[in-house]
Amino acid sequence: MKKEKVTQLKFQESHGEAVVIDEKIDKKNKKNIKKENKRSEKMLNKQEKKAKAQLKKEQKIQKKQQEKLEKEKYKINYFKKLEILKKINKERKEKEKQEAIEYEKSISSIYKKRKIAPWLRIDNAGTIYPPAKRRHWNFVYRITAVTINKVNYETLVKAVEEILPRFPSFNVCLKKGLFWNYFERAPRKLQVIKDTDFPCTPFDLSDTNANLIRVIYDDYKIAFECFHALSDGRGALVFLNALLNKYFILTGEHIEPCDAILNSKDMPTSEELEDSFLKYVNNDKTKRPKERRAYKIKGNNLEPGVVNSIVAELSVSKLKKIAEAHNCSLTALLAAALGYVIYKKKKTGKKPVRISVPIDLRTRFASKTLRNFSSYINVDVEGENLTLEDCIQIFKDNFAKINNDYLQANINANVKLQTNFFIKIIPRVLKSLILKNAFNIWGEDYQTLAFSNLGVVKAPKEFEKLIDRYEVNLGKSGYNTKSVGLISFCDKLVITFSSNIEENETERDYFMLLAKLGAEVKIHSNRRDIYGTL
Amino acid sequence: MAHYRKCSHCNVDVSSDLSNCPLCGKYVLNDEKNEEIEKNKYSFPIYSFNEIYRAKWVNIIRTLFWIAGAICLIINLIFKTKPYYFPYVITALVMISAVFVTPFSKKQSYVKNITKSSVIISLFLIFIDAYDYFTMGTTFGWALSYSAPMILSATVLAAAIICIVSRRHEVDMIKSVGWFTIYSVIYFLVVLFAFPELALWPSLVFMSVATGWFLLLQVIKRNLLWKELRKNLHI
Repeated sequence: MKKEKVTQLKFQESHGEAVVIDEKIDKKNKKNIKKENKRSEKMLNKQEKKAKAQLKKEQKIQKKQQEKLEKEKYKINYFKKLEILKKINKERKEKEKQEAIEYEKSISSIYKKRKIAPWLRIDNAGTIYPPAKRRHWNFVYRITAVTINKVNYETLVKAVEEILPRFPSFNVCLKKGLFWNYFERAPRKLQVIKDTDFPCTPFDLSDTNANLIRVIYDDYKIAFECFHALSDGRGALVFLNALLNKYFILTGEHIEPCDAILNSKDMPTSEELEDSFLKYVNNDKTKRPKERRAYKIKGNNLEPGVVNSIVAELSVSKLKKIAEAHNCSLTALLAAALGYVIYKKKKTGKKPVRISVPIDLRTRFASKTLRNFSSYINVDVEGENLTLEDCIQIFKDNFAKINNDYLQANINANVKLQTNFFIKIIPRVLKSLILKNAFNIWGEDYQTLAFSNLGVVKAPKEFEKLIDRYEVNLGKSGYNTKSVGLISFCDKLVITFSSNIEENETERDYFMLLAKLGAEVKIHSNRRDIYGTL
Repeated sequence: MAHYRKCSHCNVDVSSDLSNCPLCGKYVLNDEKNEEIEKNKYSFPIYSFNEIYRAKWVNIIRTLFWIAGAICLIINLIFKTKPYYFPYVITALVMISAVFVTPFSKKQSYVKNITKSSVIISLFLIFIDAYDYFTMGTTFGWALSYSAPMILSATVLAAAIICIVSRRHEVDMIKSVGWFTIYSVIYFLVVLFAFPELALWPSLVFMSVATGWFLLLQVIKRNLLWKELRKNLHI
């Protein structure tokens, strides 16, 4: 037993030591392991970091390479695109050149066949318009036909191509001579353009090859814009109706030929191209009455190029009834109402409200010209406490004055200056300066606004089913703030106000007055960006 | 068919594409009925203002251009120099505007403006020549007798070559040569009688070149030349 105990004790001792030793070893080992672990961790971390760094580097390199590749690709694409664009441009230019050459050939052969002069002198009334131009203005007006069916662009282009040689006085550009400006056949093909700009945008008169007319289309509109030196409203209306006639025929409509429409296959006559002022001038000396400066409607100017147009649609039959009730003509009623409204608005000042009403001379002098042949009468609305009836009476009296003697005096006075030899030989540059200043001083300064009534449109009966209405827009005035254009077709009379200023009290008061008189007024505005957008 | 809404204030019917009456500005839609603007068949398009903004910027740049000239003039009048330098600046601005800026802003061809441009440049040089003579007493005539006729002769040559080579500019260039011929004769006579002390041979060269080319074109393109002259000189 003792031996066993002793051995047990020895064993315990030895074992205890061993345990202690083992523990120590374990600790050391653990430490070592920890150290190793730490080392390995560090190593791993380092390796990882290195790997990461390498990866990053590689990624960066890859990115750079990719970017380079992309850039190269982009460059290649860019150059390819450029090449393609250049090719397209070249092809387009070549096409345009070929088209232009073909157009030139075809039109010059037509002109030769029809014996049309390749250039025209500007008519007597038209000479003032090129020098009167300003930086953002020249005298352009627009006549629009609002169609019932949607407009087909391709057909319209065809119609324009076919109709244009019939009207050589419209297919022209403005050239500058030593003594006078003149018109020459336009070398460029007339483009039919979409209605995207404000109405009556000025023509670039410095471009001596540019057309001086525009054919504009929209979904349901065909519009014709014309520089006033080419023709007046009546002449332009003949062109537009001939164009519409051709267009409708090309769309498959049957339209009976009528006197009001010129056939595109007819030869242009010398009567259509003549300057009727020179034809009807005589030596009678009748003095025109001296005029004072007129009252001006003032307001805040719109940005150059912007025109506010308010279009009103009225019933002709109802207006006629109102006019009959006032014992006057329709034009007298509408002009008097306008004069009355402006007169009421005018608070102070001695200057009279003067409405300038153009007069078509074709009917009175049996002229068939498609160029300018119109005169005007300026009607003063002045007096104390005038009523609408007084204004109507003023207009009636003034319109009664219009007879052939009065108009002859106007023609003679207009032509007298142009036919003077000393004026003829003044170089154009000086003449332009004089005419420009004359227009500034004596032109629009003697009128408050222009009130142009184109009257009833003479068109074939078939047009009644194809056209809803016509509109006349006189565009911006040079110096006046507003202008008014009227035209009627079937039972629709359309009054268009064009304004250079933001204020529209005149329009508001005018249409409110017409509504008060019993007319039904339907209002449209070209400023959908202000009065309502979709 | 077009639809309309009543404006109770003006007693007129307003087109359905408008939310406000264009005469009085009153709101014409009925919110209780949830009315909305309808594009009617005959609506006006919403116009593009791009051209208007472009014109506005051109105006601003043009104004700045002239303001620069005005500032130069004012500064020169305050801080006086002998001679005044503002005439150089202003005439240069006029020349740059007429020769480079205006054709660019109006998208015109520089070839077409070759006559006008060369005449303006020659006048500009003659002005500098005269100004230097009157203010600093330099010898007069370097521009009048040498530079201007040389520039003009070169332009005549260019115009005549373009006229023969290019069909596109044929008419314009033939006109240019015609104008230059008239101008060269006047120029020569002015130098001959008004400035007899100056060298005459460059003006003579100018006149000879212009008239020579005119006569050559008269042979080559006689019909065109006379047609153009008849149109340009009609009284």
